[in-house]
Amino acid sequence: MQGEVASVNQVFSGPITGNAILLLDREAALLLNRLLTDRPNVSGFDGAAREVITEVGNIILNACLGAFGNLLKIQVSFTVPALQIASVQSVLGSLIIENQPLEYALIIHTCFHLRDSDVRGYLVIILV
Amino acid sequence: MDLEDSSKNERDSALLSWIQQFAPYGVFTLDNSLRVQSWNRWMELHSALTFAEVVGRPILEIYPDLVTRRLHKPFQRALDGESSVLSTALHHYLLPLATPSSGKKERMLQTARVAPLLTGQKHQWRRRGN
Repeated sequence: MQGEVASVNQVFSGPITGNAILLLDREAALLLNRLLTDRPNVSGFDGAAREVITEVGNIILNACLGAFGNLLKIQVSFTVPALQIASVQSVLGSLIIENQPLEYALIIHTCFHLRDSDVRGYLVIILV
Repeated sequence: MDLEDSSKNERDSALLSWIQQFAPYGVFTLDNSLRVQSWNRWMELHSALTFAEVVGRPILEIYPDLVTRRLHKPFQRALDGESSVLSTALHHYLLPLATPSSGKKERMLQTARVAPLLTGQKHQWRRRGN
């Protein structure tokens, strides 16, 4: 992913601790916002667009982490999601969880099909 | 308890009191049956319901609209430790509160957070928004 990305991240804790991040490039994030809100003329990350992307990211991250929790038969709790608009390097560089070094990451390339449009992005789960 | 703990507890208590009296947004807490446990001054002003009128009552009974709009789900998910954000653009509002300037016809737009309030091993919920 090049240039600016929209990242929604949530720290989770419990028997496993880490950070779950949804990464969408600028065009994908803005397309997602336009498809969900019927605001075709929005071309930047205004307050409403930021909120929509944060909410959608929150839903996806909760669903994924919930599914992992069910599979592993553990319960994790989540922080409220935070949205960051920055380069991928900057987003990944800003990740610090409980002052521990980041060790493992699960990266999933994902595609949402919505109203005949594809929105592609990455789901990254980092464990400490 | 040492002096530092005592001082921290006093600060935490004062902060909660401030949120209760002066916070410029609504905050309420529910128990694990979704019954109202606290209702701050902002909520009293904008819902036209006093704490005494809502305490112990299920939030879904006070605002059945939450079920109709499927917005009871975030409260239920908070029981499993999930935090949810609700955007104005997708939902317009969480609770049907009147906009102060336009009377009861127009709903106040809201951005809301629903998150578990962890007290030891017990879960309660908190919501804030305005």
